[in-house]
Amino acid sequence: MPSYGSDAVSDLNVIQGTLHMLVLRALAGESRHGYQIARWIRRRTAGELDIEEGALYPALHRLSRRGWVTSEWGTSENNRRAKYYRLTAKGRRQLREETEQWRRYAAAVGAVLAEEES
Amino acid sequence: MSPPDPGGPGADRPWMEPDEEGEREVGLHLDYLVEELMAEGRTEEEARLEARRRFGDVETARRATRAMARRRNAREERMRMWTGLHHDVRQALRRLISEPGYTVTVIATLTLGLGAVALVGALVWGVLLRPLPFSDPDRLVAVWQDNRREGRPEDLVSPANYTDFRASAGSFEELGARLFFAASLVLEGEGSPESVLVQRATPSFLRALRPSPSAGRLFTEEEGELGRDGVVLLTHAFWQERFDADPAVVGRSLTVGGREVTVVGVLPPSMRSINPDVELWVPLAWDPSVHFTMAPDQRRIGILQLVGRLEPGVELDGARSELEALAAGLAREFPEANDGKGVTVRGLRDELVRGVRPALLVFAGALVLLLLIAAVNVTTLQMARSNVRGAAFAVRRVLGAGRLRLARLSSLESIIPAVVAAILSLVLARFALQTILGLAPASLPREHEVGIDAPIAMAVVLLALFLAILTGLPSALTSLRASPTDLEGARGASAGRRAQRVRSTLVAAELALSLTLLVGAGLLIRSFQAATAEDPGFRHEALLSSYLDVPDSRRGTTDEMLVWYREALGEIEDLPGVAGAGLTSRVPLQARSVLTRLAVEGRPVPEQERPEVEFRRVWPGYFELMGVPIVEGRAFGPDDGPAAEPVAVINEAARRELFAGTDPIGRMVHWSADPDAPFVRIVGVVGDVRHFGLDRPPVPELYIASSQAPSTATSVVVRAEGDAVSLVTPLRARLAALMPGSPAPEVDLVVELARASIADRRFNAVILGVFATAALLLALVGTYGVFSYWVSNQRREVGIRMAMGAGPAEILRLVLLKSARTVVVGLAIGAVGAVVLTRAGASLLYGITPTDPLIFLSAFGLLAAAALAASWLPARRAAAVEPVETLTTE
Repeated sequence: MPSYGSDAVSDLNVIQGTLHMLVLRALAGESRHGYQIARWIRRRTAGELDIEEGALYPALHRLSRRGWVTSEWGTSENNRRAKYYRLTAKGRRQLREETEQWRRYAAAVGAVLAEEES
Repeated sequence: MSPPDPGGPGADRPWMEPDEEGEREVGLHLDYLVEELMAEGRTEEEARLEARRRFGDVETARRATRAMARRRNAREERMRMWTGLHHDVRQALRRLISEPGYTVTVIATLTLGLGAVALVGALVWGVLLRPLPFSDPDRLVAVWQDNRREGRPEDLVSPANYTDFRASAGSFEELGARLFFAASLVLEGEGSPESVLVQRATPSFLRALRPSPSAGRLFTEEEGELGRDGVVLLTHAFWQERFDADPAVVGRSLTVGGREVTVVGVLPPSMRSINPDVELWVPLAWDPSVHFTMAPDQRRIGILQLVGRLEPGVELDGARSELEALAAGLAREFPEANDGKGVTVRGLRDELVRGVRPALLVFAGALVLLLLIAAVNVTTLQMARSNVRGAAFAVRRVLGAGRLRLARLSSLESIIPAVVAAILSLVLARFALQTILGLAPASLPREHEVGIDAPIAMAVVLLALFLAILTGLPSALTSLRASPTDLEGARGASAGRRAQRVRSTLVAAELALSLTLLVGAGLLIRSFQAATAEDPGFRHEALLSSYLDVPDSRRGTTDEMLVWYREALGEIEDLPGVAGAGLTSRVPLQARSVLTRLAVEGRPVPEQERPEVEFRRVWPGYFELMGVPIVEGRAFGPDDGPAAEPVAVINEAARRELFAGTDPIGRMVHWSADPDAPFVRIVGVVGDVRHFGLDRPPVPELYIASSQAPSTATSVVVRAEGDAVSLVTPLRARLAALMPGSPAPEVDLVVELARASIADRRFNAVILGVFATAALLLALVGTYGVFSYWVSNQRREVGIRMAMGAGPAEILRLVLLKSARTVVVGLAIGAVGAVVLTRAGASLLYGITPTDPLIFLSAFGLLAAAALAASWLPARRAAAVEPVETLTTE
């Protein structure tokens, strides 16, 4: 069970959901293997989100079960065999939807917070 | 070694177990992390620790990657299977197309067999097996009176008996009755008058069946009473034809048989299963003014058929026992009417199809035989082919093809033709069924329920697949057993001989089956011929029949009617092309029985035991017109008028049965149901006439002169001088002119009636003839194929023999001898089988025994000749072989 230092089950769901979206986003541009996905997320969040890299794999498993990502073995830059993941068409749609949802959510929360301040 | 990876970028991936794959993925990730950390300056040890920390729970990750790998594997396995299958199908198709002779033969053979299955299946299902289209149809039963004293188990029930049954029988939820004979009445009120068939039935009859009306409602119980019965129900077909399926017809008034009635509803199409020809249904009210037999307390004469719905929980046997007990009680209480009368109770569906069942079962039997022959043919074809393929398969095995795949491939080569044949056969059967039903006798019950529909189609497809697997089994087994060692040299003489023995046995079996079919067809065809050849007892060529109805204005007295009849006959005989005309109450070959009890003076016999004779009223000159010979005494003449002594004429059958040894001329007999009617004197004996059909024996008949006691309506027969057909229209016109206000009279060609009376024999003969022909063709193809193959296998031996001095004639004899052995064995077995099987269909035969030697010998000879001819060609080919060729070719 991945430990994020939090006991709340609902937190776990939120985090899982976020992780899905991040992985989907990571694969939006090109296909990557597990390590590349982790690195991308680290870079893009400037290290803010400290996730356990191993947690990516269960996430990828769920995503592939839903038919949002597929994988195939290929050769990496330094000639190593690696398993590359990429988005399916369904996955792209899902990414769009989730991004939309997240933006609305963030905007709503932001509005609430802004109100409180003023 | 696995087949090449179907695709994907970066292909040429190594084959990995899913668990291994999962481990690798995680391991790679960690390696990358370690490298990155080391590039930042840490030592390897530190880097590993840090990498582990950053990665987190390795085991969970590994589980996930392993699961993903397994899913991928499964998916790819499935895709490989599909691709493999696709590939195999294409290859099977290619092979089949490259051998068109084989493929077409197999498809044609299977189509023939499956088409026959579809046809007979549709008939047997639609007529015999399918439940009647009413709710809970197996609760419906039909009840007859079983007249044990006179040996008539399906006798009609009298109104009084019916009422008593209905009142006391607790086994029935509903028990209804219908008048067995439909009445032909005139319908007026909507357009021109039309003659319609009307069925009279009690409201309980309809309630027992529970049909859902297409419009309106059914009869109420009150409408079954005299005075309240001015209602009518339309049948569905009639409603569509005459009223354009207009629902507003309910409530309209019509005039039927001179009575005004209101339409209360329209019956659904399912009622066609009960009686397909009737146009209207009216309530059966006990009305002695219609006919004296319809009085409610009339017990002696049966006029009704009963149909009932069993009370829930009651079974057929229980109902039968109860009715038997009631009948016994009635026999005790009313001995003159009911003595010796029990009941016959049957399920309604069985009752309706009783007449046709034997024929249909014979067809089903013939079908099974044909199918077996087809299956044997296809099997031998495939076996022959598989031997050739054996080498090809062996090569593939060497190259690594799996056994199962080879088996699948060869199964596909059986399945694909079978599926094609199934589709073709359904199409073929659809067309053929139309033709067959057109030929079918009018008496085929439930004809409208016969069609190639979903259950039949499914059965055919399943059967096709079953046949494909069955017939392809030997070949599949061969390919399963094919091993690379088969490539080395000859496959062993013993294996080849064994295979050939199997094939020869199959051909012998096929010949046996064909013989049975040929014998069966021959017997039915001969029965048909025998029936056709029967002397009907009168000259039916150039003969027309119609009816004459004395107009109301001329029905006053007997003399008036006689005058009218004379005028009418004169007018008809005046028509150009008419050689003569006569009157009779019943036209021969129209199977309507009118019986009456005959009392011979000087033989006091209680009424119930008096012999029954068929009763006819004919005009003087009738026998001469019809060409019925006058065997003794005289026929009726111009002096036999109402004032003269009442006279009668009997036929030879009556003389044999009633007056054996004594002279009937001059004897007085009493025929009327009215005890005060006078005795009549027998003045002549005439030849027998087959009144009920060419294949029914003549029965005793009594004729009286209608010039002495005319009825208000009778049938007229007209002999044409030349062509009868050209006389139809003028005769119809003349009759219409004689009977103004009546609907246009129907004119029948008596020859057509003769044909129709044996229509079912013709039908049986045709169907079985078709089967037998198909069987013969298939047997020929089978024999040819097997011997052709055998000969080509024997080329080496033939070559050796010829090199040692055998001439072509000797070779020919050798081959023919071998084939003759197989043929004779097969036919001998077939003869035995045919003797046994044809007994089962004996009830369909006429004038011939099931073991008629002539038929057997002819069938035997025909098949033997055909089979030997089929092996002639291969034999000649063998004899024409050059010895050098065979010895040097390998």
